[in-house]
Amino acid sequence: MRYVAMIALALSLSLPLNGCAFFRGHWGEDFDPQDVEYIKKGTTTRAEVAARFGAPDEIVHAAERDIFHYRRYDSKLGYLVIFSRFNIMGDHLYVFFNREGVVDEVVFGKRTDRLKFQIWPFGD
Amino acid sequence: MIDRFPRWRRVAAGLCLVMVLLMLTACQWRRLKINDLITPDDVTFIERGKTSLADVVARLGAPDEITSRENIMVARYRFRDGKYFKIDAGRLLAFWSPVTPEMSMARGQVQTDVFQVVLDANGIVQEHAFAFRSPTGRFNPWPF
Repeated sequence: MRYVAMIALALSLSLPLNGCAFFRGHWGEDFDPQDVEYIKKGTTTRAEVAARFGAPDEIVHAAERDIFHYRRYDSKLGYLVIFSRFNIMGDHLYVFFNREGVVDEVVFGKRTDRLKFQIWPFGD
Repeated sequence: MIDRFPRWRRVAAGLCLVMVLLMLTACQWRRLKINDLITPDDVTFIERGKTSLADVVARLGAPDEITSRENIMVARYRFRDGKYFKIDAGRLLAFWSPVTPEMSMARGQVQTDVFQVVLDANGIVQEHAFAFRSPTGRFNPWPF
């Protein structure tokens, strides 16, 4: 019983020194999977993509093709007393257009689904 | 009956526990991670002249950046893993001193890397490489 009281005393001394916190921050709008499925290779045009997703964050001209790049970032910070961990991940959508302005290829990757609140800084 | 844990031992154990907890309050472990790390083992499936951008994306996800130069495209995957460890002995004085001077030792290390994939105009991999391969960081407060 005395040990428990001692541990409780030590913890009560240490916890108020720092406390705990959870923060969340994101940049850009989340991608709706239905919107991504709406883009069809060989039929959807540049104007239709722009109407659905808005202006791209970046336009890359590569190998005589235009690529619309849309991105979104999400971050989660967990902080408890002496440990903290800040994880950041990004989602990216690339839409490749041919010379006629029709979709040639779609590359989409959603990493933020795997983003977690973590406090423990060790390990992976 | 013999007392296996005499009083002085229990007091000593309790004091040790309190000391360890007090020492822990003087430490800080911080971690920053941007995207999942990609290791050389993760990219063994890539074959020059055969693997397409779609194959790479299916295994590694969408790249963070695509740039172009003449007739080639370069897809880049960026990732970082930072570790920071600090010991502030001044925090121990907070229990009996009106002032808490900072007596810190700290060190932060960031492992940063970029995995680059060079593609031809048809989206077929021509080259791939890691740009930096900085050493793996570890928690270490020694700044010297």
